[in-house]
Amino acid sequence: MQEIIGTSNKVIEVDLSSQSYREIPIAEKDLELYLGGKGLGLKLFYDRVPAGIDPFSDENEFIVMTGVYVGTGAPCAGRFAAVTKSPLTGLMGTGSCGGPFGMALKTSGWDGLIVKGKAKSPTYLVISSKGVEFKDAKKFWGKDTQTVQKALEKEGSGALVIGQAGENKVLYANVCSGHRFLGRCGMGAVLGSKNLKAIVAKGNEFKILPKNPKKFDKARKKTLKFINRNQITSILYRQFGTNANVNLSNAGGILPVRNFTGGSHGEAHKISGEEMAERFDTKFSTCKPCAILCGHKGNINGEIRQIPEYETVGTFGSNLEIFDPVAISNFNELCTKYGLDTISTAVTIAWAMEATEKGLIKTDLKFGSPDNIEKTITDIAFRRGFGDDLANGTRKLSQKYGGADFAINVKGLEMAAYDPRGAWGQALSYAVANRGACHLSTASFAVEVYLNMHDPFSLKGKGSMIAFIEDVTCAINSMHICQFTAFAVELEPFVVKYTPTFLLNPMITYLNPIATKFMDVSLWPEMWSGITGKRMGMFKWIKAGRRIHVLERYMNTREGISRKDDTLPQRFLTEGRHCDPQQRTVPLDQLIDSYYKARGFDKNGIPKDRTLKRLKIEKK
Amino acid sequence: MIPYNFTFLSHPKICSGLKALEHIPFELESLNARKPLVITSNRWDKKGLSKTLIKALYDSNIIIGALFTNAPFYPSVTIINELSQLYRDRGCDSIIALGCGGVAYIAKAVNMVVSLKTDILQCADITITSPLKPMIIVPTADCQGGEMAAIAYYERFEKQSDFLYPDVIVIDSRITRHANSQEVANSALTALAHAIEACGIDAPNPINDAYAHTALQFIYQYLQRTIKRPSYKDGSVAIVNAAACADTAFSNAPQGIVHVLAQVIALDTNLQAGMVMGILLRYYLADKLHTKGGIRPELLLALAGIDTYAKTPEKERQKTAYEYLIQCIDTTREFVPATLKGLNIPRYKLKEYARLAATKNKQYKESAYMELLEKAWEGK
Repeated sequence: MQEIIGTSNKVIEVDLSSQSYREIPIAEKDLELYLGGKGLGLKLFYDRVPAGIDPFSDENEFIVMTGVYVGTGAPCAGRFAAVTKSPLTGLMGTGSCGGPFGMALKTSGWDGLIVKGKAKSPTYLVISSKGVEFKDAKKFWGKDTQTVQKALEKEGSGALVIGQAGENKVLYANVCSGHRFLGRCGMGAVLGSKNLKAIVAKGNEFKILPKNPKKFDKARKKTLKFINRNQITSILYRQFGTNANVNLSNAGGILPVRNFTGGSHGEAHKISGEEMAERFDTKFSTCKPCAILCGHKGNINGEIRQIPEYETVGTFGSNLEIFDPVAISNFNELCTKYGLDTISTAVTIAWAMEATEKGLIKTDLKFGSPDNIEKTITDIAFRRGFGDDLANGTRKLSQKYGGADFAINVKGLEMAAYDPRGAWGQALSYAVANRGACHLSTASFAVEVYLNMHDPFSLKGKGSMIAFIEDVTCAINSMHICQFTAFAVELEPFVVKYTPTFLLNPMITYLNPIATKFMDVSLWPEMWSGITGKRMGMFKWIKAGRRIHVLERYMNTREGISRKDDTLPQRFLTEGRHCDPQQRTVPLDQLIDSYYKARGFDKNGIPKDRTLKRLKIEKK
Repeated sequence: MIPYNFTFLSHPKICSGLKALEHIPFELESLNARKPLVITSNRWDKKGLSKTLIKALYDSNIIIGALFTNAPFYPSVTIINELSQLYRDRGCDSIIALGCGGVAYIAKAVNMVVSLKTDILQCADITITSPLKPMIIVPTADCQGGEMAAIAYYERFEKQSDFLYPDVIVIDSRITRHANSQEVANSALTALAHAIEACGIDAPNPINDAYAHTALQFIYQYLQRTIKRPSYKDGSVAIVNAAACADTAFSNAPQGIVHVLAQVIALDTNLQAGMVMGILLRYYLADKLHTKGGIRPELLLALAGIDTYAKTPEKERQKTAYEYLIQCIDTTREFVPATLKGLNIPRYKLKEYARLAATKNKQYKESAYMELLEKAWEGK
């Protein structure tokens, strides 16, 4: 087997219109500034695609970047990033996926893939180190993700596949790889608009070796040690999966209940990870390679199925007031088959339930009743009847029928399963996140509610804390490694681990910019440095993360985003949660002011020229 | 020459200027009301406007039934039902809306619910045949258009009826001077667009024209100074008066192309409709100047006064009026870009906007909407 030392520094560009491909080199400087994965994907998109294009036009590109860690044996690094212009939000859409495609692409000798143009008829691609084969996908068109993946198994070791939802351009259609997804922002619809049913990477052609094995190995082993020592990664998520969040969120009052009116529910334990682990006799079914093992499968009604993740359980379960894990699993399976983002699908259905209740529309959907949901999911995927409207997401629905105050989205992207009124840092994070109401932009709810490291209802230090976590998250998603490793890498080093919470909490709250300087996240850049052989210090690495975040923001401002869009649905600004006797709402304006200041944006939320210059972002 | 036929209705009484707030008790009593529900937003409450209003009612027989200070910007079914319930529970007999935009829209919708004794969603299908409960609007200078007109906006519905005019509009500098420059610019541009579109229709209506001309006159005279210093008392009062006059003119004329397109774009982009109207208006006027009817020369009289009007040769009056209007729009340059492109509206969205506008208002063809959008986007 051939070897790649470090990275191959080349991506393959595929033009579907002319059925041609070519190799594009990656500049060493760009790799250093943008790290790889999401960062490099965004930089490529910025350099190649003009602002203001139609996401469904030939000009839109779908970029997959594997990142530096993939294939090296770094823990939890079987991931890849995708970048495109989202049809759901009209902004930059980015995604991270733990499916086998990333590893297959990297071991085919490519650091990334760029797809542009539009195929004349349904097509699928087979990528190897030798190039690209364009194959007729008519026989797969109209088939679900699982059937197609199975049929393509022999063609390569990893595939990206869209389902019927992507073919029908449902604005929140996802892309499937194994049993993992590029879930958000409607990437499946972009591939559908290009008549691209699947992309297969042969894989197993190259072995990826670090340039400095000694340095890499040292950092890798330490990371593994931290992962196996941390309570969340080694016990909570490993035993109960991400559904362990259900009980934590319920206790903290941030569980979405009845289209985000509640905050907690007496029956929530029925859909918790602990309950599911016992009831379905769960086993590991994870991304590969993985050291945390949060993904599980189990025996559900005599069938071995993937256990739904927390976001699916929160949005399809408590948010619809359905506390039957089997019903939730059925919805999850349908979404998997059709290629639908479970968060957007469920939140859109919740909107329809409330709009029905309020008399804005007439449907058979009712909170607490699983009846008609499966039919609705199918209608959405095939754009049948009212499903055609539902397929456009809550923003467009509320523009047409009203109900904008309970259309739970930010910038068009439906909100994940954490109620922002119970954690104001998370509220700020949702409001300012680049791709919309994204929980992965910071996952600040964990810091505030699960770990109690920052007062969830304090205004102090929120702006700089969110900016710092965003920087780190962007860097993580560019390496590319699982975000859950943050629990281990950030919390296990000496200073954080052994400082008592009663001291840590006020330090992070009142001295946030200083406190973050003491956070040791050096393991990630050390591994990156070991693989590439380039020097990368912790602060340089965090700055790279900041560069990536600000570049994405700047790209979004070219699409019309400004302070007016950095907001939350009216519900969170005017209504308290049922579980909160104080009926607290989010004081968003003050939070945003402090965030813009920390970020170097002007009062309208546009990155200042000097901010761009400092981060070496060339203004266009 | 008097036109062969025209209709005009302006219901509200305007109390404007010094101590206008102190007129409220008298106005309420003459409307046979003593216990109003006062609706305002958190922002205006924090600025002390509700206190100012309450103070003005001290030495009167008026008892405030309820003061709601948390009105959101979006007039949703939930808030309308909640406030209607509050109105009934406290035995109120009238409504005072302290503020513009969401506050005024919510107040109108609540008035429909409590007067018609029905659900807000059913109001859309009901023809209003009798006067609603007494309603007073105390506008701030962040008008979004329609607050003082015979129209109500709630959720995504638009309800037109002669009975939707407020009974009294109270314009007081203690209330109007708190908006910022951007909001003043938006208010002025909305009023400008409504006034121009109302007096630019094919069927002339001299009384409506008088209202529109008054609005134009106020805007031309006061906009520049008020944008520079939004707390300028006379200026802010004049701009709100202009908005009130423009809303009346707007109520008596069919909705124009600029208004319809701006509403559609604002809905999708979260931009203020006034800002979009300002951009579209520039290209609409340029287009109109070269069409057969052109811009009405009387506008010059309203904008520049009798001396300039008389001095300008008849043939050049249209062009001069156009220049005056563009000068008004240019005053807002610091806050409003010259093109839709400058607002970062993606070009591919124009088609969708034109289609939506054509569905909403069939008076113009989709191609006409598209043509104006294209021009406003490119700046040609």
